[in-house]
Amino acid sequence: MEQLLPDWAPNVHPLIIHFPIALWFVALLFDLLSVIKPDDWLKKAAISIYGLATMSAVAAFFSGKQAIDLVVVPFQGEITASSHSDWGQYTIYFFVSYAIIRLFVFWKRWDKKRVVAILMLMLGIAGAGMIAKTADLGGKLVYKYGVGIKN
Amino acid sequence: MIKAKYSISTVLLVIVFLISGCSQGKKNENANEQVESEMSHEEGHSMAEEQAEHEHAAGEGHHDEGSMEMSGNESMNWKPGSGNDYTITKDFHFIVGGMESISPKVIQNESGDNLLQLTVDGSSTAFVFHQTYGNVGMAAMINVRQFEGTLKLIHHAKNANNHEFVSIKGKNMKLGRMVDGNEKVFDEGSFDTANDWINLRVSAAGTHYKGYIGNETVTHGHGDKMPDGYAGILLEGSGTVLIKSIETVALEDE
Repeated sequence: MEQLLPDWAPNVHPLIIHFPIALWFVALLFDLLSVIKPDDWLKKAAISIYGLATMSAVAAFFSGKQAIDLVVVPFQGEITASSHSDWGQYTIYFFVSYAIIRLFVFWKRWDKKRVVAILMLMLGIAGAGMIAKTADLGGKLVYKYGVGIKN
Repeated sequence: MIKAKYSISTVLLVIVFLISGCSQGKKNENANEQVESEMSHEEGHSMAEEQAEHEHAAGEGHHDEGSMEMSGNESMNWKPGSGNDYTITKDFHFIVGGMESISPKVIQNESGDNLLQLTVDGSSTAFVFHQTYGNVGMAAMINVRQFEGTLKLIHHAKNANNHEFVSIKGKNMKLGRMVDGNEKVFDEGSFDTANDWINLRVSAAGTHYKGYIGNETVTHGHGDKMPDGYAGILLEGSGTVLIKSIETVALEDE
């Protein structure tokens, strides 16, 4: 696996992490559109992309668990590293739970009701907040403390 | 129909503006943090550089009798003081054992660096800095080649029976805590180093604990956060331990 990594990459984590961030926000956009203009295709697209975002988040989480012990974290960055790790964990629990709930709600056709669709959208926005927080801490680790770029 | 299209366009435009606004805000924040970031880069340089600087600093001398260098962000570099009147209790106090069980003495190596030489008599001894810490990073340059037993960097310490630690015995490392005399090990690992001098490091950041040899993470575990306590060294064994420096950094919450 390591042979497949580009020279500059300290581990696989930075190659994966952008997928869940981008996919979740795209899913959110489709979800918003499906609330504004109810459409089965938009809803299916949103749920599919939420699913892909969750799968890539699982990959990001496990690659992060591996990466944290391979990089040098200066003492000043340890709290940020811990918070990043904790938020990554909260986010993954949320994403997996949300994806399951969302599929169940879709299967039961409960999201035909506007109030349920709006509630699901709100939860999606909460998920976006969580991954944004995790990403912010990850960015701080790299760009403020030089983690992963100074090995 | 046209109205609906306009509503969708308006919503999309608002989202685009919000996203670009947030990103601009972050840029400004980043600009403000640039000075702080540069300082952090200076502070966060590699351990090898840090080690070299430590040795350089010894040459230039901290003040001879005092042996600590404090910085604004609660970090401290301790090196053994020189002079006949240097006593270990100036910088540390004992929570187990005493002077008689480690016979502290300051010697110099070929490069002229002061080294604290401890001759351990087999009993358990722990000495800690006078200051207490919560989240903390600690690094010690030590030589345990002539020591048989366990050396622990302890933190969140109240006494011998209540503390958190990273310990080394031979080539094995343990990370854990003692609560009322009961040891709980978070993680164990082994390391390999050909050097006599090793840079043993531990960090306690929230519920995350890590033990390093130099830049290599050897142990990583998790546990509840403990109340603030002292940081220092605990020795269980016999032989000679040399200490070149101890660095402690109070880790700030987000």
